Amino acid sequence: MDNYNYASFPLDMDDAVFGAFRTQAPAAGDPAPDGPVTDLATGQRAPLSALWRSGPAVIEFGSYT
Amino acid sequence: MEDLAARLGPRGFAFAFLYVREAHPGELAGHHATFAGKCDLARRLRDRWQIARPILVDDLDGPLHAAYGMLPNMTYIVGQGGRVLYRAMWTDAASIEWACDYLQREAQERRTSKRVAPFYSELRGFRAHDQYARIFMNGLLEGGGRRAADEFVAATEATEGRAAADRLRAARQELPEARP
Repeated sequence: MDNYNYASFPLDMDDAVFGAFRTQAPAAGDPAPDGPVTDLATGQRAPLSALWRSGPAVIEFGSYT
Repeated sequence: MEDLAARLGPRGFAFAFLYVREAHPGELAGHHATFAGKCDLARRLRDRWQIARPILVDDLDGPLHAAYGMLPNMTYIVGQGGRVLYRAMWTDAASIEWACDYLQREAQERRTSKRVAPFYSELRGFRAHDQYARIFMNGLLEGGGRRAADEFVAATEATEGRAAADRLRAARQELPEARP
């Protein structure tokens, strides 16, 4: 993905990303995307879906900044 | 969210923090050039905010972040069947708790053989606004640094206009970090 890890906050961030959330991000009822993630505590990789294997999962996205 | 996780975890909800790209990189915390660097900042986040939830790190180029909409602080609830049950552009503990209570009641009713049919619903959420600009600017200065704050003000001026940017500038002036 081009410039995913931008070094400077893009001037058009609001329009480009926030505007697309309502129409393009998975909505209630849609299948939840899955893929590998790395557990920070152990370094082990596992599918994100392991979180909801035995019950509902609450997933917050974020970063240090 | 940590308090919510402590209360709802024992009721069967799995909580996790998915670490994605830096939203406001700056001189104190730059963009991720390597996966190891991304993990270093994830540890800094964990230690700064005492996050007890498992922190899961997305790959360096953010494939899961992109698949879920790429916003900096969204929250999803996913059901055991792998379907999205709740999504929010911004993490909002109050509506997450309400949704968890609702979903748990619905699950209990299904266990008692009550027939239910799913339907689609939306909610327009509201975040607390008092002191928001000051708190947000303080977070930018302490997280990414002065450059992160400068760039956010510039982006706000480009997308929302001069008045909105001036509110951020005024809030920044109230902060000790911004004074020469």
